[in-house]
Amino acid sequence: MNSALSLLARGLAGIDVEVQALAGARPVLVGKRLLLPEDAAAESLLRAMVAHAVAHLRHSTPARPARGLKPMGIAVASAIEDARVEQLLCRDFPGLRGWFAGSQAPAPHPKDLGFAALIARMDRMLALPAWQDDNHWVNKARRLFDETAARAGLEDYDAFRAIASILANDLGQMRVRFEPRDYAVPAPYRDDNSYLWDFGDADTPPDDAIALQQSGARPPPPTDARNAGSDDRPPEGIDEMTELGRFTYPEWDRRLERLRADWCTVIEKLPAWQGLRAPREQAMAGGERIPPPALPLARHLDRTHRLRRQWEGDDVDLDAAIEVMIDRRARLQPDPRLFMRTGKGPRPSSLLVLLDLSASANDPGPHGLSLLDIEKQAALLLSASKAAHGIDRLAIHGFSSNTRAEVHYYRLLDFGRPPDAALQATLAAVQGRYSTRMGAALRHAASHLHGEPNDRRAILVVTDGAPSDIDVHDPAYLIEDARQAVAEARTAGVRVACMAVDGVADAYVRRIFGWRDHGIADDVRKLPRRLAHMGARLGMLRPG
Amino acid sequence: MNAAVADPLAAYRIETEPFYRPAGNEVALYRQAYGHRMPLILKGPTGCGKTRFVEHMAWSLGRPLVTLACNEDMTASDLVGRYLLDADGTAWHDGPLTLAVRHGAICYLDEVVEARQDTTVVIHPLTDARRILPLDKKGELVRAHPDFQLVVSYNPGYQSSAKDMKPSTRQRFAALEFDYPDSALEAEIVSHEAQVGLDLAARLVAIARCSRELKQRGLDEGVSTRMLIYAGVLIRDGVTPRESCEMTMTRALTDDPDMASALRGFVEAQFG
Repeated sequence: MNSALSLLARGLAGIDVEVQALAGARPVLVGKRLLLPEDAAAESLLRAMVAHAVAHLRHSTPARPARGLKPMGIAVASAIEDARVEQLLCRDFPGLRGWFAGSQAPAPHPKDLGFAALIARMDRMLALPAWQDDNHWVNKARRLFDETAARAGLEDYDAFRAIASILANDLGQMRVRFEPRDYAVPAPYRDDNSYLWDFGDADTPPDDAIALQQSGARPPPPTDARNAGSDDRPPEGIDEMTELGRFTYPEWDRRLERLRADWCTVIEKLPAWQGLRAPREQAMAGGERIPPPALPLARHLDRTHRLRRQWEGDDVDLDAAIEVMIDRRARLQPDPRLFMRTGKGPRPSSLLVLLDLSASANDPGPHGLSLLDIEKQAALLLSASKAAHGIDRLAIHGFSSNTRAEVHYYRLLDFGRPPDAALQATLAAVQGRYSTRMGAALRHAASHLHGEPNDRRAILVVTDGAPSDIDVHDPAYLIEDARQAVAEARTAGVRVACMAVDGVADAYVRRIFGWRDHGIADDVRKLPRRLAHMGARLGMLRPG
Repeated sequence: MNAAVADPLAAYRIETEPFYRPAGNEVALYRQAYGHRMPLILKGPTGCGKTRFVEHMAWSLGRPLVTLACNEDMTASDLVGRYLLDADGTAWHDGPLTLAVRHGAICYLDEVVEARQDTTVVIHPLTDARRILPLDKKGELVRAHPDFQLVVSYNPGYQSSAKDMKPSTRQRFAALEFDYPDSALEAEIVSHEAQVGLDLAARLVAIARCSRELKQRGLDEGVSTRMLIYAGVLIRDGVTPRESCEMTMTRALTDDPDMASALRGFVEAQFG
């Protein structure tokens, strides 16, 4: 989905709103997720949709019980609520009046006294102060609305609910027919108001939105790991053949407040790409490809590499020259190192990108692309352009975990190896499986960086959710362990940062990586660009 | 010092009261800290009023204020001073820090993390009980004037920089944390500084609030109070609100088209 709209929603609402595309013509608001029709044409209409949804998020109480209300009562109460929250929002953002006014349904024929037409006329009446209508009911609606707003204030939901009852009752007496099946909220930018009501379990209106994948939340961990992996497990034997080594690492227990020695086993494996064709991969081949973003060339900051007081160089170091003159006047032995030159910094940078290859990365996003596909594309992109980003040495590793006894670790691209066709084949064969035991993987990644001959070293983790594993039931446990692993790496001089593809990642990502070293990509398709930028930043850093 | 240079800090004195609207009890806390000449860190995002606060405090305490914007190429000599050549030979010239230490000013190192860590260690002996500044090149030990105080500012918000203060430097300071003031107060400040109506100022503040929600989502920092004042000044001069916000906020903050479009949305949400 258009990420400008996502940012707009976030800014106006003040909370995280996930904006996704949905086939269809109407926006739908589900919890904090706004599904916008993917083929709605006009930008102004999309903006009005966002603004209306923000009005609900800020001012409506979701899921009020609908029991005891007739369908027509619900429709009228929803229309009044729409107008109420829009006016509340316009109080804070006066410019939005124009957005709403410009996106109303076209004025119905004056002779049309059907339910939808009356609601459309009422919408216009409430949204456009200058609008005139000759219908008694519509005028009564505006009068009641304005009176209530003046008397009780726009915040008083119950007062407006009361006038909605009066108006619905009037419609009943006017014998206006209401066909729930034929009725859609007239204003095209307004959602279907399913957000407002709780219809109970029995007669939940069928909603295609609910069937959509819940992103951010992981699927419930299966009780039996073998069961879970049965369909995407590679043929027997491959795993054992490609194992490269086993390493044990401690794990932080937040209750004991100490490290449990040798608690996790990291199994390093060669990604089994020979002859192993995953169904995912074919799906990927047919799926949408993201056009490579135009990446800005990273500038090597010359001033960080200005070497002063050199024996030889392009320029005279003025400070040193003055000191030479002073020393000569003072008849002291001058220091002949009075040149300066710009040069490459003495310490090149190494960046290890650590990809989350857990099963949830397979979930197809709203664009038909899974996080895994995008991670792969982003990794390739980064490897192809690393020089442009000031990264001298790049490695791409991935991990997934299946209990503490089996933290799988894949070295997809090692330091110093050129990104070649083999990398592409390896990446293509990687599958998302199991869970995310981040701490152990981070410790192992840090150990790889210890072998790097320089001290500008960084790990960049790409993940789509909080750490979890099937043998851990305390959600904070693995978060605290990962936090500890990050602290250990930093103590060892390895910078650790994270890019989270999860609109609601704020809490745990900040807990693990600190409030500075993380970024959140709301939109998965933004990932390659954000990753490249973050990689460039990490690559250019001075040693801390 | 002879009579001709009676007040070497004359240029650093602040004559008129700098406008500052306190957001909390920072003025009282600063006075307490100054009472003990305690070194201070002022933390906070860009353009939230740190520098203005120090100016205001220096004015209200009647002390001169020596301000130094730190940068990466700054050397210890730039702080403490150096020998320069003149017609008669070499002469020592005090640096700004030495000047402040000798004559009792408040020395304000703006964006101290921009200076290299080996530069900032020269302030160590000044910031503990010793309160001395050794000028090793000159062979002099300057004891700090009783009125001298060191204040540094620091913006922890840049994700882009790996810069941080050495723990050994950091531990020598007490810290005051600054943030953008709450909406009503910020509107009042913008209204006063840009000399625009309170209603216009409140709308500008609402735009800034929205932009600050996008921190870490593509923006390193949201719209600052200073930017709002710029926008207000242009509007006062007759530039349309949309154009002045475009110029002072949207284009100034981002190059990303999506982000710019979202920021424009916030502006339109206020000004239509």
